[in-house]
Amino acid sequence: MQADNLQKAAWTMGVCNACRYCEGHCAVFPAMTRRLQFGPADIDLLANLCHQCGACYHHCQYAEPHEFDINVPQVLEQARHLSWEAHCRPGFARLAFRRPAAFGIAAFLVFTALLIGAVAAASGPAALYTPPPTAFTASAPATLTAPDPAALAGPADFYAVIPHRAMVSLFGSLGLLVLWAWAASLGSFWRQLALPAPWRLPARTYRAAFAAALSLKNLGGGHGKGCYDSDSRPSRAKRLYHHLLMYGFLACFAATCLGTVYHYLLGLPAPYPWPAAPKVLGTLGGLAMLPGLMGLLWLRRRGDPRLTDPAAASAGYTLMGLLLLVTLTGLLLPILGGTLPGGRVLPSLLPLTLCCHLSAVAALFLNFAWGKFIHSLYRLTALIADCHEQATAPPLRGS
Amino acid sequence: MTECFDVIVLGGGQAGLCAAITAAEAGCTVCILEAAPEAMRGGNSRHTRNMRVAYGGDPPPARRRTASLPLRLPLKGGAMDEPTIYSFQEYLDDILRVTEGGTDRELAELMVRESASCVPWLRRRGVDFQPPLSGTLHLGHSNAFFLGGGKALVNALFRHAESLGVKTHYEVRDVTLDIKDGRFSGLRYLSGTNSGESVGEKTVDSNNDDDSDSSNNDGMEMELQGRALVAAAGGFEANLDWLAEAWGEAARNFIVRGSPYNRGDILRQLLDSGARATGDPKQCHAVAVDGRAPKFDGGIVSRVDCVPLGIVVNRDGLRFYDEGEDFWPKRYAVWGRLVAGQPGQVAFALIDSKVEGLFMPSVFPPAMADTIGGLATELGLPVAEVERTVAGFNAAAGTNKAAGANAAAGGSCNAAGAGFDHRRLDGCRTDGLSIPKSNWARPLDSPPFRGYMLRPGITFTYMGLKVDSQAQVLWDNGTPAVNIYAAGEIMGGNILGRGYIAGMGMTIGNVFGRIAGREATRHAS
Repeated sequence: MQADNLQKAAWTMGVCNACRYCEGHCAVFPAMTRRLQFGPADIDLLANLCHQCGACYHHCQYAEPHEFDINVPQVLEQARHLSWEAHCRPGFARLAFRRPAAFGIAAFLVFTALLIGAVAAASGPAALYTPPPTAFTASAPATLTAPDPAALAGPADFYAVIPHRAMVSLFGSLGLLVLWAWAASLGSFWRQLALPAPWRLPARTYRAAFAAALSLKNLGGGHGKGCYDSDSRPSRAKRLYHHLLMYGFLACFAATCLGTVYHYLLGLPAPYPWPAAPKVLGTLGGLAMLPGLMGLLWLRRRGDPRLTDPAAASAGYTLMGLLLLVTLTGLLLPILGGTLPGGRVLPSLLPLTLCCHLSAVAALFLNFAWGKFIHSLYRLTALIADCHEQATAPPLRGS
Repeated sequence: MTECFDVIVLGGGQAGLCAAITAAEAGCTVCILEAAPEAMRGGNSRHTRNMRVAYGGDPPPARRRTASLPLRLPLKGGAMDEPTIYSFQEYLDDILRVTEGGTDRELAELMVRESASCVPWLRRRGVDFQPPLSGTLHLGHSNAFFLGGGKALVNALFRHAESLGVKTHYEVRDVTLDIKDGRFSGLRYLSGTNSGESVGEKTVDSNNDDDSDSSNNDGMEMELQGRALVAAAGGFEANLDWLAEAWGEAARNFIVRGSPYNRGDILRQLLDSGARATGDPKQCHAVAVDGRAPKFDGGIVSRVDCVPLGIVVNRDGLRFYDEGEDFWPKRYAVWGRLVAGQPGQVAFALIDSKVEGLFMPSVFPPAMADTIGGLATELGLPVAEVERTVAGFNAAAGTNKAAGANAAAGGSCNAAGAGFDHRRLDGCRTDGLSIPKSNWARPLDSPPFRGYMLRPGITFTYMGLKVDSQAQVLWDNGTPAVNIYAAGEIMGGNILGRGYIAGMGMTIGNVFGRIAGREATRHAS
């Protein structure tokens, strides 16, 4: 599989390097012109530089039905996924890259079962449908008897369902695992690219790479008019949706980090009332992620199937599915936990939703390291390598 | 039912699109008939990458209104930001020089003048430009490059044409024009897919012109009426039968670099109807391409750029021309004709490892061997003859005598070829060979050796329809056809009757496409 793909990618890049009409579209083609031959390291770099905008396919004089059948987005998407698999640590985790959907769903179900089991075991099955006390009565011991309706006025205390300490140990250990996997796999990629040690690269290389990553300028098509998802008409939709998703995600991440600071440094435990910064950031982030996700899912569904690889599409759906689950359950939680109209006490969906939310987050953590999410770090690394090459490159070959 | 259009355009390349868009923008109903299926539309425009346009400088004395001047190419973020001038005069001089007078001076001046408006016209219709591609620095001064190449341009123009309501029919075959008393009234054609055959096979088959052709026609018979006709259907370079009339059977070994649909059917019909021809019917523009390139549509990647860096032998193992006469961009067209003149229409470029990385990589991997004899075997050449040729060349390229001759001529080349510089005419020449190599001559002595098979790759034909400055087709008696116009390669010979200037075909197509659209509109309304 990998050998086939490398061979096809090398042949494709050979044709492209003799043509070079696409040089203005994105970073892939200028990087290609700095090479004469395309070994695994070259293909890995080019594949991770490719943002899958489709411009080069729609503008290719050698695309099917031409006998060369050149399809750069597709062959590089395959190569990209294979490169993540090749660099992944530990080795057995590459199964997760081969069956992304199965891995994502299994992770979610396993975590859900574990959490529900743990809650039921620790506090009895009734805890799964009883509204937890609100945060402002949380100092009183959690009780399984029906709470005083007045106590429901205010945000619910999630820690009454799953203790703070349990959450910290679950996500703390998952986080450490992810950090280790990132360091190990990206280190392997970094070495393959023959980059100098990270601290030896000048700040301007990082600046340029981060600017390209944060602006997604490589989704601009070279003219700024955008991507070619479904036809030869450029559209800014993909870039916009991805920005919503990426910045929404970063806002949620920032909310989590701020929450940690509030909790440990300021001694302010969650939940936070409006307009506390973690709550605002988290809500805005979630609200940005939703349209971003829906948009990207829609684009993937109506997108040109020729541009993508079925296995890669499944990885994309898995990540988007997990993000959607996290976002939806995350946005539901404060609503479910809020005041009930009329002060009536009904069986609460909150504990189960909380379990689902945390399981989705946990499955997403695994996806950070062994799923499509890792594209962000590989792409950033590839952009760093590209900026480094631009700064140090020998004169263009064959000019 | 017969549909009726103000303007019917034959051919969906840039010239046809410019005509169609111009007419549609003026309010005409327009239909484009394109021979290719949608995925392969655009004729040879889909293989192009730039157009030559004048900007800055003074216009040549204008016979009519001048274009908006002076004009600077508004390209973003590239080498073109500096307003280097490619003046009208320089452009015109280039045309006069390469065509050696084989140009209609009035039309050439018209085109040069109007070229200044090509880029803004295209940009307003969705075509994007970019700084010159790598490896094309010699063109940065004069040529504007399409972002994404010619297919991107064709796509953008089709999108724009569609937004104006222009209709396009694809896979149009067997067009029959109705022309009476010098006036076009309509046409018939077959529409629909060809019965599953590949394009190349189909073209080769129908080249044989056998009667069974009609049995393959499962298309629908269509009929259109039109007030004006724009013929923008390209040249006849994909019609090997026609080429064989000029080249004999050697033409069968030509590779057609562009569209297999440029078979010249429309050109022939108009000539048969009494249109006046222009341009040399016996000539075509051919370059040396990789012998393994596809028979059709190989485009730019089939080129082999290493000729000046090594030697070229024919299938008998003998050199036949000075490989170092000039820079490759100035010589590749010469080599097309040279290879066409060799036995079997084939030649072999041989290089050694010293020049690796000094030329644009070729898409097909070269034959490789550690000895010259081994390379000859790989390429199927007579070993002894190739070894003798290389030994003779090496002796003549690496002698002190050669170095002395170089020094006397102001060259910096010494006996070991240390003054070699592929970026300039370095004067590293051979001494004492009947067929010299005037520059970049170094012994082939560093294995591994590499070899590329070369064949003539035909780009376009010169003969076309004679037109006037309204792009109106002229009949043999000199009177203009009432409502028939021509644009693009089908009339390129008016201006480029001989030789080659990079990117000028697209300028001709754009300028005369727009003129044809304007004049057709004037006639139709």
